[in-house]
Amino acid sequence: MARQQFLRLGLRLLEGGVAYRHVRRYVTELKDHYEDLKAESLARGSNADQAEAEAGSRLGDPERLAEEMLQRQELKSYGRRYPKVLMIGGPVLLQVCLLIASTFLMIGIVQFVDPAFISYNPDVAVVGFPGLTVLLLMAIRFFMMYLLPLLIVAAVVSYATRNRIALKYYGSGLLIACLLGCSIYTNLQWPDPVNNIEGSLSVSLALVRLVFPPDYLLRLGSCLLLAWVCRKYMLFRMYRDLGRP
Amino acid sequence: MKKTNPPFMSGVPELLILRLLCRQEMYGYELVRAIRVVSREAFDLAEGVVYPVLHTLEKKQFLKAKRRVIEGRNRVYYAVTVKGRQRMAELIDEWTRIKGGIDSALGEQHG
Repeated sequence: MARQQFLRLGLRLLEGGVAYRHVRRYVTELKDHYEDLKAESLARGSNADQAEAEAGSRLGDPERLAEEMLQRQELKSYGRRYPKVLMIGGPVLLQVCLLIASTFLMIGIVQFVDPAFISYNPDVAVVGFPGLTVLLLMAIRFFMMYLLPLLIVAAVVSYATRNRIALKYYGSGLLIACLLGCSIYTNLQWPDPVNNIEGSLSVSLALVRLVFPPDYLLRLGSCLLLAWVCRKYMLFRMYRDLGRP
Repeated sequence: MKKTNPPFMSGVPELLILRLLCRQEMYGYELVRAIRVVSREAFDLAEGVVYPVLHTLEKKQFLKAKRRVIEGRNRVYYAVTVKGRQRMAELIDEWTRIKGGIDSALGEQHG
């Protein structure tokens, strides 16, 4: 079997819905097995052409090798088995859950540092916070506003590309998640004890208010750009791994 | 009433693989060679089809796979888990029962 045949087999299995990790390992194992069979045949005195022909015949017809894998439902990826639930609902749910978790984490930190300054919703006073707490709050704010949508895009596009999931599924999920994720705004007002100004923390969704700050499109654009880069990179890696001699 | 075995031959590769991997962990090529030896070449199988069975058994947690680099090659070794040993015992019981039934049927035919 030539390198191109292994690559074709791998792509066919991915098209059929077999999970990428199984496809990659299967193709690698078949290549290794093929090399072992070739070496065995050469050791028995066959020439290179005979050894290749014998190894190919003993390994099995590519059609049969593909069918054996395709008929096993348990080896199919979850994304292909439940595309609507996982690829549309998944990114949105992930975005919402992590947003809520990050908000509660920020509130928790504020409350832990100085419970007396927890005020009514939505503003939370942060007067006199130590430097480390301020840094932590800034890091979470940065994560929520800028990193979270990008991480979700990278994870979903990588998974969907490798498992050959239709764009209509993961594209819709990502679009909703990005529209939501990029509209998150967290405002931290640092306390100023000299001028007796209290600090405050607020989390808002531009999508709900329909007031979009100027960087909204920039954030959304960077998500789309990352999705494109991730897709290209994953395709490159996939072809490289499956077609590697 | 005794339970039936609907996929009549479907447990054969599973049983053979679990039995052989119970003795020692092996990678695919080694395993196929071992199957040929213990079955006295009774099965004419396309050797590559052993891998989907191995993946399925691993997915069901009857086997665990470990990567090892041997002589510069990245081999995937398979070993039987505790759950796999239990499954093997079940399969052996099932096959002993089936074999008894077939022996009895053949004995009746020839007798």
